[in-house]
Amino acid sequence: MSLTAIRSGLRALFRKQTAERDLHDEIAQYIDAATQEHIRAGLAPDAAARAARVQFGGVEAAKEALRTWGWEWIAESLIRDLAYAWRTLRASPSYAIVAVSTLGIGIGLTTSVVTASHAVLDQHWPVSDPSRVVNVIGRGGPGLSPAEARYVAAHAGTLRSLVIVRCLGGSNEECQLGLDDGAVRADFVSGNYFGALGIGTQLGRGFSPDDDEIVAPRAVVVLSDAIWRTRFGADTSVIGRQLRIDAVPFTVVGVARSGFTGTRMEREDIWLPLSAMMLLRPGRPDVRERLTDPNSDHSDAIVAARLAPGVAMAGAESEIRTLNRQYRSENGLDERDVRVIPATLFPNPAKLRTARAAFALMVTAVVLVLMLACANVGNLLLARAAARRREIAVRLAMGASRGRVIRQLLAESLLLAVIGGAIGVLIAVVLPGPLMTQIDGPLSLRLTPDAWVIAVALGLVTLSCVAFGLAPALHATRASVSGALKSSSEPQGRSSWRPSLRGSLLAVQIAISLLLLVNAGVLVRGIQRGRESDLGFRSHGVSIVSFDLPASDAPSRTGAFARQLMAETRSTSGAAVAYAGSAPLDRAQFVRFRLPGESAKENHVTAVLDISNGVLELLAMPIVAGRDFVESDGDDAVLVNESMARDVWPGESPLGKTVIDTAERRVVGVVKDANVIRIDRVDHLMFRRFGNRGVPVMLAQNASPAMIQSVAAVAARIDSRVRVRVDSVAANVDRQLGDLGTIATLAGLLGLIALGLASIGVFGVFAFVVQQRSREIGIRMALGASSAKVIALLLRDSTRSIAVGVATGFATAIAVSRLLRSELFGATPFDPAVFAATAIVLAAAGALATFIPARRAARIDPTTALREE
Amino acid sequence: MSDPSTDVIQGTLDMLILKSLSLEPMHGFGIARRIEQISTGVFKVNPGSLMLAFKRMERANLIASEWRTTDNNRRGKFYRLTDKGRRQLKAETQEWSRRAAAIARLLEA
Repeated sequence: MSLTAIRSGLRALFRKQTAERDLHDEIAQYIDAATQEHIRAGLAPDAAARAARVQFGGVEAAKEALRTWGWEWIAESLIRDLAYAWRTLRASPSYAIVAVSTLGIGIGLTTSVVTASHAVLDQHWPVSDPSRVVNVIGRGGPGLSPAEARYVAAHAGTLRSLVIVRCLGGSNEECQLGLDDGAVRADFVSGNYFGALGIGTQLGRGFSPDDDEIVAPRAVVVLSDAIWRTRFGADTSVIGRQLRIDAVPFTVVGVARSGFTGTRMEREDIWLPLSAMMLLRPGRPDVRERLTDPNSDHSDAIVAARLAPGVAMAGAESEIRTLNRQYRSENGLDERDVRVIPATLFPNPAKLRTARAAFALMVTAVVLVLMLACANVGNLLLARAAARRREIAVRLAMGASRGRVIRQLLAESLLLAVIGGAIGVLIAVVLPGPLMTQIDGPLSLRLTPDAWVIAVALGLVTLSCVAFGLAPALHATRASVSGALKSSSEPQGRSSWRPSLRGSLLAVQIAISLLLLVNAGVLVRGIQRGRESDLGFRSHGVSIVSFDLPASDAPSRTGAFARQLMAETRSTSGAAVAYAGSAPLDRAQFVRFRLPGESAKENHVTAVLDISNGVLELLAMPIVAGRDFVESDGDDAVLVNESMARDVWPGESPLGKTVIDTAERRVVGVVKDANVIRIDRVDHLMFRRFGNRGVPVMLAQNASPAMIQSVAAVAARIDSRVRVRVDSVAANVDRQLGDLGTIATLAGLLGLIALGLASIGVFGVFAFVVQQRSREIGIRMALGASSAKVIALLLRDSTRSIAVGVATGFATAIAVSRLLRSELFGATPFDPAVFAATAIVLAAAGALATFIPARRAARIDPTTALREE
Repeated sequence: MSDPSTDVIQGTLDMLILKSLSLEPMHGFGIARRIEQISTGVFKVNPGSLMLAFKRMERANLIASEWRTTDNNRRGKFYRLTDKGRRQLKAETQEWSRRAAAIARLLEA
């Protein structure tokens, strides 16, 4: 469109009067000139004028044709249509609110979920040149142990540097440390973290490789900008200051640049060198082992690397694979698959594929809700268009062109889509942040919605609005005008296609909401069962008390503390207590062992639990063969669980057999299987006597807070520097179930929203049907039908759709739940609780949705209905 | 026998208007008259379509208009050709000749 066109269009828009005058004058001029010609030809002035006007033709028609040509006309009529649509919507506020909020919820939810999914899965690391940073992962687990990572770093040419990041214990809880008076989130990183990733510091420096020597760990710490501001008042002299982390003194060497909150999803407060772990948990030999053990099986370090310039990921991957094979054969380990992927913020890079699948599932569910919303609004639009047949007929009769009427109907749909879209965008902007924070704590992620996601959602909604607004508009304007003017309500027979379309929309709505609801129910039930499930040991009412001593202590001193502690607390406390090397469902220790006669290369792995007397009783784990430890047993006696006995010595009794880990050990008893290491499976488990292996944790059954206080007091009396932490086995259970719980909650919410939407849909349809057929109802009741019969009649039409919807919904729900089966402790849709709950909820919603219109139908006064036009 | 059609050949109205204006600026009626006279009555222009064509062509910058006071002291809109219009006329004339010649050949063959 040229500039001239734009300019003249604008002029016409804003100078209406001038435009009209010009139009009038130009036509007048034409007729005038024609008149003059006729006069010259000899006609009288009157006759000439008349002849000229006849020659011209219809003046008003010509004016109208000229007025309605040009882009400004279309714009103006669009605005006028929108204004009219706005007034119409305001006249039926309930319809408008329902439609708009339905759309808003649909768009908002979809956008939020897609944004969150994208943010969690695809965001880059906030470091310099992030596209060159990769993660090294294994299949289903970490690919490299810290020890192997160091080996690879030293030998790889395709990598410029390699960094390691991990939490102390791996679980979320163990990422929290005590900084002076409060808790902070800490990440342990290799010495080259700041340098290799190009993370700048605003004060002091980052770590250097010297800070991260296992043989000589340094107690240095780098603060985040946020912590520096909140806890240290942005004091610029903080460098060199000493602070206590978990009662261990550390020196501040730097403050990270503002805006940097770590390379994880959660916001990190401080960074410590990897080897500093040993300073913080001196009583835990497993901590040191994990840093030095070549075996990666139970490492949870995140290994990232920067690709050397010009190197592609594939090249790096093949080199790492080769190095990995060499390293593993040199160290007598099994072959493991390692891969290289672009660096992700996702907490467990190896599980990225599973996470993607999970998110894809969530996105699908939410898109289903969106479709539900579209179907709802579609139904509403259809109903409204049918109700307005008369109005449309009047318009057509008064001379509106078909296109004009259709445009106006579409304007309404567009307005709905725009307002609904605005609400949706608002939800999408506001919702994800707080939601994710609720789930996971303060996050490092950027959660602003993608523009293209919003665009797609809006487009979808607009499309459905237009489609469902257009179809009836086309139909309504095609119908015979006089027919519509005469009849007052919808044709009594099933003459048009509309009812069946509405019926199928209804079926779709019910199917979708049922699908979501049932699966949510299954998930929730699964969690419930997980919590209630018998793990094979006592998981409720058991407290875990941990004691941590400072780093500088020699093992002999720690051992002395442990012995004194165990002796004193066992005699003073009333509740049952026992000591173990680690707590159930906590980070487990694994050891490699071999059987006599096997070479050093053959390695089996088993979980190991060091226990003292009373642990098996406290945890209600019975002995099924052989005997428990006795005082006379040395360190060489071990117990094994049933699975280990079955798999390592198939067909024979393990009693008396020998196992060689760091020394030769004899099996003296077999313990019943229990899910004491992982909640969803039984691992091979070997129990050793708790000897001088650092400070144990105390397990107490039904311990009162007073009792725990007294134990803490005893510990403090033995050694005033001790730090006591209290936890529970139940909390460990919850932690392992944790993510599932969140998903179940979200799924439940989604199911309820879907049900709400479907109920609104059903309500809308029924209300409309009652209103449209009120005349018929009046007649029937005047002829003697009871209100119950009338309602039954109304329901009959929709029953088929509802039945189809229910059947489809259940069928798909069953199919979907099969996919989720593995995560769910055996819950299925056939679970009576799920069945019952869903049926009740659905029945209640259905009843509610049909109740009001049904009541209205029953209350119809026949005489009024008959008289009504 | 029905009267022969006096409608302008479809698509040629713009060209005819441009041609009429190529000689001198004119008002609407004058242009209609000229087309009628020079075609010796074969083509009679419909006033409505003519005025619509004016609006369209003015928007496309092929012709420009100005209001003048005519002899009878009335306001009159006069159109003139723009440079772009002049070029358009040339192009359309060539195109028309090409096609007319082709039709002539086809009919003779």
